[in-house]
Amino acid sequence: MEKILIIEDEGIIRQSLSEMLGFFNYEVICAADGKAGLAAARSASPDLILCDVMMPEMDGFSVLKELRKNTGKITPFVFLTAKVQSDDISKGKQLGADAYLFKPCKTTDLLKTIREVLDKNKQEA
Amino acid sequence: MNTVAVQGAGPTIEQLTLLLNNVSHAVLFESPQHEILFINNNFCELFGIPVGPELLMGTNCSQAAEQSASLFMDPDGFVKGIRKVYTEGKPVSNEELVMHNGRSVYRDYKPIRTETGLSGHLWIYKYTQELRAILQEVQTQKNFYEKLLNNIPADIAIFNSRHQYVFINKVAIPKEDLREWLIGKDDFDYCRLRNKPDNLARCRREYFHESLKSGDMVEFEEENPSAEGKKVHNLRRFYPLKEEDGTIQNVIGYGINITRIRERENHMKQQEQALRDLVDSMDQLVVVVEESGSIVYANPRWCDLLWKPGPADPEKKLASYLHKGKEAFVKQLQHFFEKPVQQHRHARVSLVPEDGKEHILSYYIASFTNLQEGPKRLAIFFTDITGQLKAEKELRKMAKEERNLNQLKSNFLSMVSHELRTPLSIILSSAELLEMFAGTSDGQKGKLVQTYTGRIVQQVDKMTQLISEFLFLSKVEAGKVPYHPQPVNLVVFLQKLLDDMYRPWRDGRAVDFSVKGEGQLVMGDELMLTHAFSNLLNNAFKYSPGQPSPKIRLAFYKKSWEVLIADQGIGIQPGQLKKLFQPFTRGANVGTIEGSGFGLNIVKIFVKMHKGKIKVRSSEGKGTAIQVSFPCKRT
Repeated sequence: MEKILIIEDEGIIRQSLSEMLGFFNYEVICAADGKAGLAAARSASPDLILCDVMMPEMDGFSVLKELRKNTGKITPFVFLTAKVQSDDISKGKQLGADAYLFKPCKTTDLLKTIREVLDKNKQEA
Repeated sequence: MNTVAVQGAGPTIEQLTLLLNNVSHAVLFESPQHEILFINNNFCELFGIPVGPELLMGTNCSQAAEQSASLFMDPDGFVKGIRKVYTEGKPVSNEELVMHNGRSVYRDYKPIRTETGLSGHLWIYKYTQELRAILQEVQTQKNFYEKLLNNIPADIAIFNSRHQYVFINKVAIPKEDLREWLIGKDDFDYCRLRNKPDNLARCRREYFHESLKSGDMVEFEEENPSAEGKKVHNLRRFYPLKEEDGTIQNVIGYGINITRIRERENHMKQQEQALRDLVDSMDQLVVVVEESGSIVYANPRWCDLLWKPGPADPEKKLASYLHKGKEAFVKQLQHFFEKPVQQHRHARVSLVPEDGKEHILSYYIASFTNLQEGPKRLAIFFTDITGQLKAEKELRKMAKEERNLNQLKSNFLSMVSHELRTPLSIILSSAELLEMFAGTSDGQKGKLVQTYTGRIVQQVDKMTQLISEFLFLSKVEAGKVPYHPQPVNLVVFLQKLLDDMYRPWRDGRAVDFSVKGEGQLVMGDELMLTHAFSNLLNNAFKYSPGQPSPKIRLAFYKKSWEVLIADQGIGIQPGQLKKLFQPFTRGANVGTIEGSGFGLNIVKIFVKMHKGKIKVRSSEGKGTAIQVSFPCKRT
């Protein structure tokens, strides 16, 4: 099973996403903040990271920036966020995000994006 | 000639006779009864008497005179003159008589009196060329000085010690007969002649007596009406002529017409007063200072500003009233006194008057560059800018508050948008999951669940859209959507927009597009233009359901380009037209047609950024035409 790490400070969204992704046969691990997410990304080796932007102490941009410092395996990274300004989108892409999705995001769109990113990563590997 | 001594130790008759025969004049001495007592050779020669003087002794002189009258150009005058002399008994000197032979003689007469009475009549006829020359010279001189006196542009008169006229020039009295009449008379006589009040004469008399008494020149001014009724000003002087013994026999009086000078003075005084009134009425405080810093003049603003009644104290220096900026002000003044320039850039100083409220004044210094005499002075013009500065400070504060408010609003909207998205995400994902689960169950229940979850998803979409638009509107209003003009091929741009979104629209209608004029590149922001035209086209389609396709026409003119979007839809009510471009406003006739109410507000802002204008024509029930025109900025 493909493993997805969800980094999201809102508990209910974490729960909702977990349930939904689980329903579609993804293994899901969760982190409630940026620091925990970074640690989980390094230890659990997920196939894809689904990350919020606005989180206390360490935001999603910082998590991605830290992750991309590693020169080893690059885990696909998708932002799922309520920050919908064009500057935020540009920043996310510049940091190396594979996709930038807005909340609320349709389940079909989310699943489609996750699939595309995973497949692309497999091809490149 | 005094009494002749004929007896005693004096000369003999023969000696006297010899003497008198050798004088150059013609001499005749007759008795009171007109018998000739003595006659000399020159007399006989002059009158052409053929016999010697000794033969004429004792003859009647009157008869001889009448006989001799014919020798003269005016014989009657000659005889009358003699008779007059006999009658008056007064001496005569240098009476000129012209003879037929062209000779002029000058006649003297003197009655000779002794203790006993009249001894006789002495006649002397002088006819030497020398005397004539002297007399002519005297006459010439007299004429010269009279001409001089008559041509000096001043009233000139000479008075005796009794203030009677001895001489008066033409300037004073042009008429000769009046001048002659005045000789020997005074101003009181003149006033009586002219039937005028004598206050003028009295006034002159007073000054005359003053000059006699003091022996010095006395000056005074007279104001009299002219013949035309205008005021004439004369400056008059009495100048006493002192004799060698210190007595005053004559006084020269002269007057100069100073009417024009007085008029000019009055005019200048009026101008000066007008300028003073102007300075006094100025809103600025005007202060004139001397080099010591003392105040020479301050206009009435002084009292207003300093809460001090009355004029400025000349003993107190201007600097003593000043507060902040005083040192710089004093330096500026000193610099100006050393090197005056016409203008000076405005500087500031503060002043604290009696009421204790500080006033900030802006000032500039001007020097009186034309003042060559007297102490140097500077004028300082103060403008009270206290109120202005206060207003500026208020404005800056308000602007800052507004900026803060805008930032607060922006932050609030951003936060609200962000926070609302989270619950919407949950609603959406839950509804979608329900939809998925409902899809697995059969029957009516499953279908119903799908219907309801479908509605939830749809409304979440709408709310998300609304949040996005709302956030976008706030960004646009805050000026955070930058205007980036680029060259745009309008025909290509619009074609693409229409092909992507309106051919067809969701209800199957396709927009009708036409171009008028020659296409050209213009400067524009494609994102803004896309948003604006999409909004207008969406409205055209939305508000004309079931009607023919809306039309869009692009037109190019010399100095502008236009887009006209017209539909045959529900139109806009007349009362709604004015509020059309205000946010959160929708027409009362929109019914169930959806809309956020601020799309047109954003369109208006984007059109304005392109320096464009929007015109709307609409008829309720018939349709709407929106014309957007832009100035042509060709690339």
